[in-house]
Amino acid sequence: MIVAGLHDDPPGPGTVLWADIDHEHDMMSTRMLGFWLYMLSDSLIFAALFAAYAVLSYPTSFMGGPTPRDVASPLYGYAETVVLFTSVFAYGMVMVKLRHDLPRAAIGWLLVSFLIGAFFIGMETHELRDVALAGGPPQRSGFLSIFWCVVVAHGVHLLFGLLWMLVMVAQIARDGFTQLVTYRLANLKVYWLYQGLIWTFVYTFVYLRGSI
Amino acid sequence: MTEVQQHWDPIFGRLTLSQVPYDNLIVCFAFFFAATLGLVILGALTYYRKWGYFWREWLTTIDHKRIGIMYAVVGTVMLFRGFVDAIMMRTQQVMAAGPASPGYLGAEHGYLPPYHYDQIYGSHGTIMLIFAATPLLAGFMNFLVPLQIGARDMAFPYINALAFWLTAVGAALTMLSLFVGDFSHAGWVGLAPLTELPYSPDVGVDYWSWAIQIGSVGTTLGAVNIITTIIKMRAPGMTWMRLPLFTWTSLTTNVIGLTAFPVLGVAIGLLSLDRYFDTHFYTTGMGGNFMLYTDLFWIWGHPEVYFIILPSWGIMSEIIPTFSQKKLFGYPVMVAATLSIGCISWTVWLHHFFTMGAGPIVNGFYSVATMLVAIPTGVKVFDWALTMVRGRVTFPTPMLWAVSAIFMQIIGGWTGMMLAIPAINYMTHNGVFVIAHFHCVVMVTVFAVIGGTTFWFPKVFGFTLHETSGKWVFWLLVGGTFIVFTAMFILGLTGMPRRLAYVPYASWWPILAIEELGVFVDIAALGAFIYQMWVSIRDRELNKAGRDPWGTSRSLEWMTHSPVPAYNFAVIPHVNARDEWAWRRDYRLHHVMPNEFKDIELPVNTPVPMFIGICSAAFGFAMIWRIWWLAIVSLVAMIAIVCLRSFGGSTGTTIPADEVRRLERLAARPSMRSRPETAIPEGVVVLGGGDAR
Amino acid sequence: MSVDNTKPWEHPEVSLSSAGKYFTGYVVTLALLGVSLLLVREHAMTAFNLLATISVLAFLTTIAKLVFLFHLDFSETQRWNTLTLMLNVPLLILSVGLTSWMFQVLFRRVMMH
Repeated sequence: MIVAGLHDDPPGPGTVLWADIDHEHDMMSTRMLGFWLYMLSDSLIFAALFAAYAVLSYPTSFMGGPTPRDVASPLYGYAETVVLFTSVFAYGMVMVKLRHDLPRAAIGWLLVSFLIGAFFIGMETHELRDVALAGGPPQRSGFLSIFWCVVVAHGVHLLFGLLWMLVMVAQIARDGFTQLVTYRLANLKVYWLYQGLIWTFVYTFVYLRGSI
Repeated sequence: MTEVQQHWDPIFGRLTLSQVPYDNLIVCFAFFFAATLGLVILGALTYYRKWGYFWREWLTTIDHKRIGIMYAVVGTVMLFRGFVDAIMMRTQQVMAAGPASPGYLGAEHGYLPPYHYDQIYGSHGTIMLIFAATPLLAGFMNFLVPLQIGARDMAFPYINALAFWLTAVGAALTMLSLFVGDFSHAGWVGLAPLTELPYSPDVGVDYWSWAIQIGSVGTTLGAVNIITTIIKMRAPGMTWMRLPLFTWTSLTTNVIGLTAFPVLGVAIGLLSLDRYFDTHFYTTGMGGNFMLYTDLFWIWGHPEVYFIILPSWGIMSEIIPTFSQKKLFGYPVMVAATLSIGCISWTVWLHHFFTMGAGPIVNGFYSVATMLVAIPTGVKVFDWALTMVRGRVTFPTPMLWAVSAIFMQIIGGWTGMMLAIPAINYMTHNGVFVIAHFHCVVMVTVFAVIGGTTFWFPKVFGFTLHETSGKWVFWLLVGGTFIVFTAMFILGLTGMPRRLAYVPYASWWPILAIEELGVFVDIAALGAFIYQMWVSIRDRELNKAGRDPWGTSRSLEWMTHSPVPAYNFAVIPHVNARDEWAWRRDYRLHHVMPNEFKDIELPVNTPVPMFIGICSAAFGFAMIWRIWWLAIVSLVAMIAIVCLRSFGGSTGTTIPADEVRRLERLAARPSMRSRPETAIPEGVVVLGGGDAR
Repeated sequence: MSVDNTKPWEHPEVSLSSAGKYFTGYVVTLALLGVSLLLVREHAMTAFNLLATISVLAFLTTIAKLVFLFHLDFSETQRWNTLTLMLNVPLLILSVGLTSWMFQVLFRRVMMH
């Protein structure tokens, strides 16, 4: 097999020197690939935070303060998991409605996803407030610093996702499913699902591992 | 929020008039220099009534070529600043060798007090790597990649402009630290726990961290852009195995940029949390671990080395075949070597802190991984050499730079292999042997960048650089560099530690004096460079360049006019060969012009990226000086601008086909038009099956 | 690839969406993490085995998400997403894994047991 380009043929019948049409680039695919690459980049932020978590979760980093077992309850964490994954599922329904060109239904599901996501933020806030009140603010020890940092970093990502959802509700209402709105909805899907994916690791390696 | 020990008020944060170091003679001199230069530029813009032009064509542009040029301008300014830092450090050391050395300007030895000297080496490293090399290479990649793959623009022209402005803001914050407050005294690597608030209570570390944070967001966005462009925007026929090598190295380098810079963001972000919120990531007590900082920093830091070196190798791989009049030897192997270096760069970072004491197994792993880098690098060196073998080699300035860069690469690589051995590394750790080693490596980048500038200058500006003075720059800079670093290697083997404001042994003075001599030669090179620029610009009408001023160049960018029109290619070329332009020349197709033009759609300019840049500058400044209200306002403004912009539609402008035809006629040189029409081989399709004329 | 710009919702990336797949993904991922939760609450194994098992379950959850929610495969539409992710995952494993390893060895040698 000759790999195209490894061997340069001389010009002959059928050799084309200029592209006939101005090569149509698929704008939506290009933009979605760009956003996907950005999400991969974001995953390295969490990788670095998990690496820091691994280093700072030895007993020397507890400084006699709360341990992983004290600050992260597996059961409460599972409830949070259910809530977040439900929001993710609701966002999946937005994409289904988009596919069937039903803007109103899409707005409805988008709001459902938003409200459940906001509820998740509420649960997380409640949980962190309890940790702080029980003597575990981030300033208490190296371990608590990284614990708060991982959970809050994930939460801040969610907050930006919620803001983005509101923007998209307005844009669907104003423009319907134009090309711009469609690719943004698809990108927001990647963003929101990705937050669910990261939570899988937060739950496993922060909540569950602490109670082993 | 952590309470700072010094003065703070709710309106101005920590900012007071006493933070302006007007009592420091050196800083005052720098200020007057910068202010005069700034006033001259502003005055010239006003006098020649160029403000409108400047706004329309530069500040608001989203044209990848203009952005590339602006990147290069920022990089060059910062390169100059970093060079001045280097001169000051060399001069301090030669003046402060031995207990008998006198002191001036308030210093006990030499002319710089230790705290000032420490800031200079911190800013020298930060500037050279992050705000000089990175923007210069980003400039090359921005300008060249779309041209080399036959695209009209980047995949995301708007993001491209945003990335540039964020990088520029990072550089601007670094410069500002000279005149308001101070810069980090903890080295460009930010040695933890020295960077923690109790040991660095001033704003220096904050300047360093926010400048890097904002600049590296720009680098990450730029990486997204260039990777997507290369994957999605290639011209028809531009298969992966036909991609010019510079494009391959740009791709690899930006994969590193995409994946490594977030880790730097985390490393420095956690430090900022320590400084602002009193957390304990890197503190020595309370369960923090400062080696964690070193670890995270070098997870980024080592790939960053390859981020800087890979595009330089790409530049060399373009220059050497052009002036050997031969295709690049071993192209597929070169591609494989580039990609494998990108991969290995992720597995070697512990060699920056072998002395942490992780033990023989861990050190052994990283030692072997580091040595593996030598294999693909060696392959590259042999490929360049074999490209020249039996070629028709000529030595104009770009080729001189490229060949000397190979020598520099060999020296830097050899000493790197020595340092990869933990037993040797324990001896040389924190010594100037390491400094000499990595300066040899980054000098490869400097040589390649200057060579590349000479090579592509006619493509960018439409006229060639003055050749004779270019050779003067070459011999002076290469000579000076070899003098400085040969001496530094000797000092390194003698055991001299790095970052010394005062050199305790008078016996080291003669070698330090040789280094100083080399620095003088380098300064002469800078003078020759300024002369070269002046002569070249003066004689620009005499040295006008056609499409292909070198006559032997090989890739697509040489097919279009010099300077390149806004739409890059009047008609997108269909690629038939790896070195398309050389292929067309070899088969006498290079005078064949497209016979049919179509409307061209281009994105319109927008000032939004600049506005976001200004907001990010305000945000950075506010965080540095702890002006909380301004930080909140500028952050909200940034988010609001991004949201509001998304409500606008996508905007483009169309250049009609007739206008393209007119511009093409205008750009074609008379000599080219008067040339007898070349016979087109039977059956070759010029455009859409149309007639050749 | 030619794309009809007047009906963006028919773009290949959008037409991958399906309620059935999203629901399957939802149930499967919750079930897998539920198993992890049960194992940890019951202390069903030794600490090391438990950690290994929940790591494997987290990995399976990730795969389920990537298949059912992100629709990753090697089709024309998803090829680059899948490839770039596959190139990215080793970096995540390297940065977390090698860091954990070097500090574990370091602590064993210099700090505590």
